[in-house]
Amino acid sequence: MLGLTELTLNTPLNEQQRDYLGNIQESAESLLNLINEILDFSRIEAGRLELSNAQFSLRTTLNRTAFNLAHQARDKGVHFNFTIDKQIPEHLIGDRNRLRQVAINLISNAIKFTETGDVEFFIRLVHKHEKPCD
Amino acid sequence: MNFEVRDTGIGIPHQQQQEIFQALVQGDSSITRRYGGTGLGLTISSALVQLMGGQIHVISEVGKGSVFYFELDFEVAQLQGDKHAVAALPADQNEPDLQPLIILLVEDNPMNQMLAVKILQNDGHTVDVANNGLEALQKAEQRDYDLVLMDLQMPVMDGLEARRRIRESEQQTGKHLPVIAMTAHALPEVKDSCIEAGMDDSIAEPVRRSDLFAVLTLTADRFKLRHDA
Repeated sequence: MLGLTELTLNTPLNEQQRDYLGNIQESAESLLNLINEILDFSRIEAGRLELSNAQFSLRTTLNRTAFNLAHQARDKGVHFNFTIDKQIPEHLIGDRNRLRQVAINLISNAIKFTETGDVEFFIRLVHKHEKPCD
Repeated sequence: MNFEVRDTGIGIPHQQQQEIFQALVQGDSSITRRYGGTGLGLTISSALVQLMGGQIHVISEVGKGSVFYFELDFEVAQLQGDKHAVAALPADQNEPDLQPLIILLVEDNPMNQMLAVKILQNDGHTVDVANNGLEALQKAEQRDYDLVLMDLQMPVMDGLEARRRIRESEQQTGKHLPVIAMTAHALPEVKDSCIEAGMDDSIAEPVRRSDLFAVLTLTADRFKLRHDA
């Protein structure tokens, strides 16, 4: 539904059609979002949400997220800036999708509730835990 | 590691700063009408950060903006084998030029196939389609592709098996054909297992132009894909 709407929006349309399709797209996106949030919420309530523990690159993961969100911000005329500490190691262990989800939520909230000015996203290294090599 | 999101937005009144983490609560009901949203997002984020061992805090002043922050500990991965160095793309830049690529799309669902082909062609890429993993292997032998978009669940030969065979044949040639997995949207768990299984990246289906553009740009950048069209 979303994909086809996106494709149709790229074809010649009159203003009214474009407007209607834009509304369909927005509604479909909020429905999808609602379904995903309800699913997550029920998993959390049931204590059945489990995190994965895989190797991932924080930088790559969040670059892609930031890339998409920067578009959202730009469409709204809000400046978005993403800074990640150079000292942060390239490969970490954790749940990159859930971390990405949190970042998307906080950043898109920030963009949503900001009319003018900036949204900034910083990641800083606070402590460096040296794990003994095994 | 400290994560911080700072905005210059409408802010949150002091007395509501703790409530916003509860389910279904937004600033007040007029916020819901004006800005939409389910009121679940922040509750979920807060629960996720707690599961990861942190706590989301908020500092905010009405009319000035808000800061949300949390700290998380991460274990550093011991590098294993040849991990490809990943170049960071500056987040805030105009769409960089993505050169036209020659892409092999491996997908059995005709609807998803059509969708991905149209999006890619609209952006100027060349797309060949394979209906299953076996066809993909045959096509990959005949043409020099820049990258492969691979559905995971297909009849005849699934995406993981096809990826494994591609990697096997590369042991002789020393090449690396980037393979991006396409997975069902509702299953985020699947994504990590893809990366573990030797996929170079993954993208949710049905594909969206913005996601596809982002993943192609980052992959092209990472593997220095350049094609003179």
